[in-house]
Amino acid sequence: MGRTQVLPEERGGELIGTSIPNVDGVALVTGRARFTGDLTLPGMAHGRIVRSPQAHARIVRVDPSEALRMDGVLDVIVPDDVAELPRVSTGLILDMPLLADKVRYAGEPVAAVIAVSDEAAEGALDAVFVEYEELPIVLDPEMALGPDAPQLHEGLDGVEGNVCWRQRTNVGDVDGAFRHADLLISRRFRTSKPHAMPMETHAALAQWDEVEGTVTLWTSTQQTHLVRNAICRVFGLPQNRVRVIKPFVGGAFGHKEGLHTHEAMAIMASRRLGRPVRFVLTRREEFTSTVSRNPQIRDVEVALRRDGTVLGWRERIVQDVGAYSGLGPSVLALSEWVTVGPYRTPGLDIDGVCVYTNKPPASAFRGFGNPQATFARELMFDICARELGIDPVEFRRRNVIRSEDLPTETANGLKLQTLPIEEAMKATLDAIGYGDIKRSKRPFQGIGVVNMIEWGGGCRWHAAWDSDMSSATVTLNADGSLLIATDAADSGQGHATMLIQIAADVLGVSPSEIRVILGDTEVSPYGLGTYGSRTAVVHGTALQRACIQLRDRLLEVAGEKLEADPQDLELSGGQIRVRGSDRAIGLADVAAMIHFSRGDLPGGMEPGVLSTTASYDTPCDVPDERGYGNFAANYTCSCTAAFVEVDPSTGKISILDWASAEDVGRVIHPDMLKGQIQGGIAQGIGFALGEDLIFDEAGTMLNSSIVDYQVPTAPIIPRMEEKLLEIESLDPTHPLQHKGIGESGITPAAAAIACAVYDAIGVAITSLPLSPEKVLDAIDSRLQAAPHPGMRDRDPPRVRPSDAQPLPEE
Amino acid sequence: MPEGTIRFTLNGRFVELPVAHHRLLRDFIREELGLTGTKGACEDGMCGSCTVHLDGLAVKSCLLLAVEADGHEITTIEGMARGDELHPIQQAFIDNFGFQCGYCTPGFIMTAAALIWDHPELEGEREIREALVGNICRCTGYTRIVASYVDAARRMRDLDGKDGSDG
Repeated sequence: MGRTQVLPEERGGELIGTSIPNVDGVALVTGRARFTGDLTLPGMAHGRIVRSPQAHARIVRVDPSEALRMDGVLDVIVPDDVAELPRVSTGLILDMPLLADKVRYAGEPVAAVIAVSDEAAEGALDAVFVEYEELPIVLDPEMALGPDAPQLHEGLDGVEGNVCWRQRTNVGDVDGAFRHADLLISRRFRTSKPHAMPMETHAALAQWDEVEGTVTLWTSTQQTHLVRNAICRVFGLPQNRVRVIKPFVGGAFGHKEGLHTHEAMAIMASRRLGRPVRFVLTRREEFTSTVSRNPQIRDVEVALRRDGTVLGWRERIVQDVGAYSGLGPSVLALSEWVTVGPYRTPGLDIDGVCVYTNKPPASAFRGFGNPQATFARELMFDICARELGIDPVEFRRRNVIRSEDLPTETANGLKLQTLPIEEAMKATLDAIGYGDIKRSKRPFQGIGVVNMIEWGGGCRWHAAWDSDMSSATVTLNADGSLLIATDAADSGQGHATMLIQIAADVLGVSPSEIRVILGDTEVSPYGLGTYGSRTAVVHGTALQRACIQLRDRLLEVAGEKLEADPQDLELSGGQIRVRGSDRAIGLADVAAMIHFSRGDLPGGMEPGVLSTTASYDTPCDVPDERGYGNFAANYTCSCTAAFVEVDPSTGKISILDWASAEDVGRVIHPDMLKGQIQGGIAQGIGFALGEDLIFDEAGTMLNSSIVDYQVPTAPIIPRMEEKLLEIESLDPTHPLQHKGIGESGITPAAAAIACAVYDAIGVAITSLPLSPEKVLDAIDSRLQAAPHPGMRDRDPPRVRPSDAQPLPEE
Repeated sequence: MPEGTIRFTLNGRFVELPVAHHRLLRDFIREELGLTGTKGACEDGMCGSCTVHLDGLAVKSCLLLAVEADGHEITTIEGMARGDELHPIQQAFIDNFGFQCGYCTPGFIMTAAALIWDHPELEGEREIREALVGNICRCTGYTRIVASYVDAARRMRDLDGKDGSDG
């Protein structure tokens, strides 16, 4: 495993730290696991969404009469039907109508058709007549900032022009740093608009119960309770009449947060028709009409000393949120707060805006704003290192936060208890053989070494959302079987298995005694669901608390029966026994007593249920107006090395080798942990090499199919196993010392490849993706500028000496 | 819509059913036959999540019409295990954590099974990755899928050695 213990300390029991079989395995490999699109109900009707081909248009008229006359069509929901309903958002700015009041991107929902079969509904889409009055469009976020740019959301509260959010992070003496620096280097970076593309498309099945006045929604989501809350707000229903259930979910990656139009349409249609209604989005709809990553333009300027010391950091960020803001503002905020990564920086000043454009909305995608920030920072570091004539690894060594400085607080207030970045660098460089590669690499081969810092589960960003809470209930039935229910919403991470490990260790039972229900609002206690690498930390801690409360109750009764102090009892193998003796009682016997037998209970105790619920709200802060604050409950870091080869005739980049060392905290399940990192890296490789949604001048997406939107297939991704190393740093302030690592793999991957390509061809490609065209263009520019491969960038960084007053010694 | 009757063997059982001529095999399996282990994730034959066996060959059921199954033998993921006893490939995916969300897994298992039967010589990491190019997984990064494949091929060779069956 290649793990090292930073702070050896025993917590947890036998199962934590072992790779027990995934409890969902048999269901998944036999095809018996039911995803939302696999569910049917008697009398079920099928829905499809009519989507705008226009990117910006006033809707003059929607006429469903022809569609309604077609065979099998049951109903058409039009914008007038929802005009009185409130707007929705995954984030704070309620800017999105359920059906377009005005079209703001091509692919936006305009109407919904319900029919007896999916085929009939699809066939009727073109029969819904929509008259559009075209409006001028704006696709470029910087153009959208102009005074004459077409406006997407005129009159919306808090929106100025097309700017829906400003986020400034300004801490430390940045101006002083820039005055005293030896040199200032600036460069512009651009990131792309990739799509999470989970294999299962969105789907929802709603069943309205007229008698009860209730609705049940089965949906492919990460957040059952937040979806329920949004449904209640939109339709004016109390929360006890709406049940949201998450079946198996086929991948999410941030893509399945919040309420979606098809979910609301399923509910409305079920109510209107008195029968269940199911929507399953097509892959094309996923691309054109669901959220992507937020592209950013980052103008970076770094103040440096000659020896490579970073003194200050300035950035301007223009983030393109597309037609609706979603989680764009929080993506921007978190992106700013991790901008300087695991490095020492006395001051930073980052000024960012979120801008509307006539493109499908961008929102959460694994890594949030961190892959963007990491790409710009790490490539910038390589540019600075080259300018100063310092080896890029050495440049980083001079700037990383050192182990001897821990615990420490960064300029923008991140409280770092553990940060084994030096150890990670050493482990990664050893694993990939950095020195050997540097010495022996052939022309057009290159190596990139990058570092990152990442929130490790649990964070806050705004005072309007200052709960970071989730919950778990554990119930011991009278027969001794255990049931866990929580708002955690697995989409492939293996949550049920991980939670069973945590519970089984506290309660001393076999994993087979425990069943887990994830994400059913009538069974699971309240919580925010799964996102942001939080489940191991937040749900894990809540569950452990619930299990400890349950255990204490059991020990009290068992102590009475065994005539022993509860302190002297231990739970294992389904028994409660007196430590060091053979006196024991079965867990099931104690459970039966508590349910059925008052006479067997300690005096004053009444029979009752054995069910405990606990919550956990992480102890992090909402940063202040300067962007200063400890926004995450804990932090992880990693060092990644990518070794690549560029084909100078095709521009194709091949990945020859990969190594990384990650701080992962206390490991719960080594194999599933590795899987999270492997999968994240693969998505990051896609982000680097080609994934990007492309639009023509009219705002029509040109690559809305898997044929044209190229995700990595098996041959693209190198074997990543032995050289993925884990470092178990144990944060003493954190209850279970687990860290969330769902986003650790993706965050540094594009940066590592970009730096490796820079090393290979001598030109920094500063915009993602690193397409063959850009690579060829870069090689071409180098050859034109310098006939000998000693080379300079065609578009060199702007370097200027500062006013050169020496900085007082620290 | 023109309709006909198809007769074929599905997971070892004879089936005779009416079907619309334009019905995709994938949709017929999922909706008419209720076997939802065969998934759909694209409309272009690119993702491989709908892979089934037609006379032992891996085919993408979204690229075939149901009528093309007439007279043939179709196996879906539901036909791989014998009762509670998992197929060695299924067990290999469990033991090697060769899945995460599991949505693409039935397709990968069907592709892997046909490959192992037809190309037992495939052993190298690179060759296996090239052979799996028609199936997309968005969760695992493929390393554990390849490990599952290698393990499955070994198990099936061992079985062959024991009883001479095709696994």
